[in-house]
Amino acid sequence: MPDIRQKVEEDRGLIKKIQLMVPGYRGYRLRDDLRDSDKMLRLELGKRLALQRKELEEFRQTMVTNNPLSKNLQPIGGIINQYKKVEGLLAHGESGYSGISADIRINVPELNMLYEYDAGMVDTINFVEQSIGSLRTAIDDNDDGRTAEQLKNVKMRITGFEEKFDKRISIIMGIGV
Amino acid sequence: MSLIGADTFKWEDQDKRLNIMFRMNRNIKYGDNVVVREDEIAAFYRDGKVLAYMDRPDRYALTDLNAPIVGKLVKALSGAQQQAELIYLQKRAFDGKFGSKQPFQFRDKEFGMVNLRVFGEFRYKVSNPENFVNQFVGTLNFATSAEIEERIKEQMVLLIYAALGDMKNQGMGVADLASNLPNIEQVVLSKTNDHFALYGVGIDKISGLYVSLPDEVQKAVDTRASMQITGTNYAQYQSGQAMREAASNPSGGAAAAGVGVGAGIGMGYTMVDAMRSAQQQPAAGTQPPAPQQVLLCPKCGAANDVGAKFCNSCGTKLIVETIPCPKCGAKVSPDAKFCPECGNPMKATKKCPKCGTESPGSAKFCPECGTTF
Ligand SMILES: [Zn+2]
Ligand SMILES: [Zn+2]
Ligand SMILES: [Zn+2]
Repeated sequence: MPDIRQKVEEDRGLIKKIQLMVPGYRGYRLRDDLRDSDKMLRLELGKRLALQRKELEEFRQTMVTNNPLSKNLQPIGGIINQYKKVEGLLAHGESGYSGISADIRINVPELNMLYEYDAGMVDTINFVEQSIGSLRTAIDDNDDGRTAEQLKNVKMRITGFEEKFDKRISIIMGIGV
Repeated sequence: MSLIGADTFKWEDQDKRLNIMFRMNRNIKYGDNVVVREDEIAAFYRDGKVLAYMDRPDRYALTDLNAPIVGKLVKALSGAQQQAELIYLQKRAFDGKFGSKQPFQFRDKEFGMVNLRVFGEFRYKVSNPENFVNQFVGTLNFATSAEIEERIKEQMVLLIYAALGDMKNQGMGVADLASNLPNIEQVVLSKTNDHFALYGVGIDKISGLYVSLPDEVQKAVDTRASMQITGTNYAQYQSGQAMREAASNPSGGAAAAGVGVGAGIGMGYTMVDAMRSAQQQPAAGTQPPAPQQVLLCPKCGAANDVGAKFCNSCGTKLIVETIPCPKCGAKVSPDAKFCPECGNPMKATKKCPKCGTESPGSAKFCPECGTTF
């Protein structure tokens, strides 16, 4: 059965990718692991978002000092609010909403999809981080035009992350598009 | 196990509702039980500081048996002569409204000293229970949420005044306030962290910010704004008004002059001219106002009280001295940045290198795109 062995190897690659970001991540295997791994991933993603938001809040402070009349202040405020919302979505799973329910049967093909999808979320959050780096350069250079562009970029990417997280469960369960 | 004489403490719903904080009216002691629910934090307070706080929902028995969970607190309680206070805090965010009691004096280039008042809403929550209790209960000896909210509101107003001051220094005038409200919100939010962290309070959001101007200033600002939007000068502006009135009142003067609802656009100017001359002929029996007692607006001719600073009809600043526009010769206020007749810049202006917008020579930033000059 060469196919399955190949699948397992692929899984390892994806798990490594997630492990690089989530320390102590065991991966989705048994039902309890499934739930714990899911929670760990969500908490770690939430932490990363919170760090990004703190950076954005510092940027806002710099922008206020540089020019309180800047047209860029409103967009950055909007992005900070969006971060708070997405952080809430991720953290909300901690109590009440149980993330991936242990009652849901997940078979090997779905597990593979889950790894792939979650590795994709890790990529997306790194992708957002890149745009925050470019935004920092634009703000340091006091370049309002470029700052506006980079703000749009950050907004687009965090929105992408939000959509990705929103669709996660439905995609895995095969009910999403 | 329950100890004789031990009490159970919980935050009763009737005390909770709109309160961010509740100070138990009895002291707690070793052996008591404390119930903490999902949305609550229990803070234990003695000798001017927080001994411990619990923010996980549970029923805590303050005995040695629970030492791993409530250890620090039990240790403090068991050896103490003095009992500790229990203070409950809510985790959720609260909505508050603020409004200035004292006006803020804003020195505007165009309008002089203007008294501003600010109003708005904000959302706040406990961000650090220790600081919150130490500041409000320890330092200020507040017992109720109302006192705390009052303090937060006062600070919010001060922060907004500080923001207005900063923004004024960057070239914002009274006439720019309305369009800058979202910026003011962001400037204030950027200051709240530094300011409220000390109190253990986090400001989540500011909304519905509103800055109120004295009536006469507001009117002047509005009139100018609507003229700018429609790109008309005052004469055109008033023709428009007259047409609208005529259209909505067919039995009035316009109808009598042969113009009713449905008058073609091309007829508009004739009608307006007719109306204007009709206006200028005082109706029989009425006396024209005595010229000494009124101040005529140099722009629209409306009669204003002597001493008025702005025309009550068109909002023009009523000043005696004028300077001629170098281009069209119109009499222009010495403060004006542009000639109101032909739009010629009256003072040195600079063109934004990025978007090309003209700004006053004193501006440090482009009002359109924010580029630094
Ligand atoms: Zn007038
Ligand atoms: Zn002119
Ligand atoms: Zn510009």
